Amino acid sequence: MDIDWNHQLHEQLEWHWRHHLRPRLAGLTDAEYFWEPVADCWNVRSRGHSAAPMAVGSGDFTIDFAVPEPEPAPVTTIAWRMAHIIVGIFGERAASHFGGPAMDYQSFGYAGTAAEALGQLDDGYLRWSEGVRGLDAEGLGRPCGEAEGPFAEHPMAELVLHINRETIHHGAELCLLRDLYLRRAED
Amino acid sequence: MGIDWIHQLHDQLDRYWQRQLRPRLSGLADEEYFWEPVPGCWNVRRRGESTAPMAIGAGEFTVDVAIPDPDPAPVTTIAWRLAHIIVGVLGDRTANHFGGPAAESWEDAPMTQLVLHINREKIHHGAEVCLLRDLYLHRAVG
Repeated sequence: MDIDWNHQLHEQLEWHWRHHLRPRLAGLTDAEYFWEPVADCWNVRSRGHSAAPMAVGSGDFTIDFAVPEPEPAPVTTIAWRMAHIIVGIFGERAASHFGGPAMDYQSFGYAGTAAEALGQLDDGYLRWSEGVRGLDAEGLGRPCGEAEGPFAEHPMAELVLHINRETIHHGAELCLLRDLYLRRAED
Repeated sequence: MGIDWIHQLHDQLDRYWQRQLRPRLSGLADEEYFWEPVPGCWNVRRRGESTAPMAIGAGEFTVDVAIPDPDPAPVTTIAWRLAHIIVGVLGDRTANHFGGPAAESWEDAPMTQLVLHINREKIHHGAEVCLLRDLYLHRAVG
């Protein structure tokens, strides 16, 4: 059986997006978006309200950070994890590999509402997945280049599988946080 | 560049297993394994102690389930999710496809698709287990 690798790789993430992640994010409220399930979470916050060592972003909202990462790392909120997927997973990679707009954590305009963040997530997913769909067999075999640092010589196929893994991993966290929010003990 | 697809598919999960999931499971305490982060969880329980519609398993411990799944489904513990990975994600498929000890609606799909599916399932549930450990570590001590 001839395998359409481009389809197979695209479908791994598309299936997760269509059947798991995106339906389970529908109706996300601002209260869930900013919910801190434990003390001292990292979050997206209105500018000037962060107590983290670093608070970056270009708009009215900033994201909590520290370099190097504290040990143990703080638990992060749905807002923080969505920003990580939007900027670090889809945005920077779409910019490097598929002609997407330049994006980084420092300059990104973080969403102050769940609806705005869902729009950013949808845009990011679309840009990345259309880029992947546009790769042919030769494109999957092409080295992924300097943007990927020590992985420069590795094939694009490996980067696609990595982005799939990252998105599935962090998407699962978003789903679980929503489940916990739904069942949390009321304050 | 020729792509070694067997390596790529294996590496997607193996890298996750070696660098993320397995290291983050080391030192898992029994309290974490059975921890119920919210009321009404499904868990693995000593036989006879389940209040779920069904409690199944062969030994001294059973796993809570119901058919059909309640909506919304209960939050499940680390123990429950590990059991799901061990039995549902890996065990049944190992039996079906690699001559392990024990039916699949995927019979017309290429093995590639099943491997990518199992990778996806394991990454998804592995992420949940990691997050539950993080929440346990940072929980308000009751």
